[in-house]
Amino acid sequence: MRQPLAVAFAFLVLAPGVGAQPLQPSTPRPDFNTVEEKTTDLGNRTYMLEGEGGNVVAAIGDDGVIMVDNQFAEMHDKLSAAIKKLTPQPVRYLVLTHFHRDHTGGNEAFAKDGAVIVAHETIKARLAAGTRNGLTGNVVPPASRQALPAQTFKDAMTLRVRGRSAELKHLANVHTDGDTTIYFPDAKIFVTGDIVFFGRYPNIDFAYSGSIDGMIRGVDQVLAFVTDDMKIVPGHGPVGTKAQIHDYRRMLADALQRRLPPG
Amino acid sequence: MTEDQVVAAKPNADYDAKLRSNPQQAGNFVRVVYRSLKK
Repeated sequence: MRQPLAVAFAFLVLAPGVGAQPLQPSTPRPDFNTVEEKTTDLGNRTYMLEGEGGNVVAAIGDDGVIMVDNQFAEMHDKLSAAIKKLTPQPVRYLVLTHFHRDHTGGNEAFAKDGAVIVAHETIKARLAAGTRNGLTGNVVPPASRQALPAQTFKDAMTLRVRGRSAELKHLANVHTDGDTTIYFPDAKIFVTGDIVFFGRYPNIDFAYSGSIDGMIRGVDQVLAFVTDDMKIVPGHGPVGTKAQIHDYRRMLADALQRRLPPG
Repeated sequence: MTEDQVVAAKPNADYDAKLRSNPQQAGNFVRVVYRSLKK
């Protein structure tokens, strides 16, 4: 649906971090018809799904699934089908790592399927208000009521289905202002969202309180928690290790050190 | 220096090569670092 001009103008005026800075080209829209979901078994009934958008994790319990993120809206049917291949159990909880559309686009459809969306309170506020990409200027309109989280938390929260649990923790102002990490203790799997990337540069959503020094602080918090035997699921791309997070942290610190003074 | 001048200076050229980043990816990373520091 076309964005009404008045709403688009309001975003231009009101969106944080939006000034006279030049806009950059957007990433071309993917051809969702050709995308397939790739499923990776991470062990202990926990799976990573890669399609178009951020990584998805599905932790299967005895009476339901705890799912993390859900890619773009267009991926719902393929994601849902991929999970149904793994288990007949329904998605009980859908946890969001942050508000970006490539991680939350399927909210409404999964909620209609019966999932309870769980997220940090700031994510709900961002989804409800709509957002604007500080780098490209792309506007994401306010989400529908059904796409909003039904349960929110402030600092930390534990979710349980029979036989599984997930520990949610909010890290403030790292990649965005609503970042959440998820730990599955029985599987030793730690999900970082877009705080951590392996083998590629991260995005930093400076329009919504993300920053390079916040990224370094957030990665330090992650490093303080994770252990060498954990599997680390980043926001995009392949699974990694604690040692790889150290390499990533070094790259971020170098980028900060090499910054040239803003003129 | 302006943002465009910083991008043109390629301060992370070694990582650009190591990560096989295209010019847009490398430039965008410099831009988001620059803008997050300028705020």
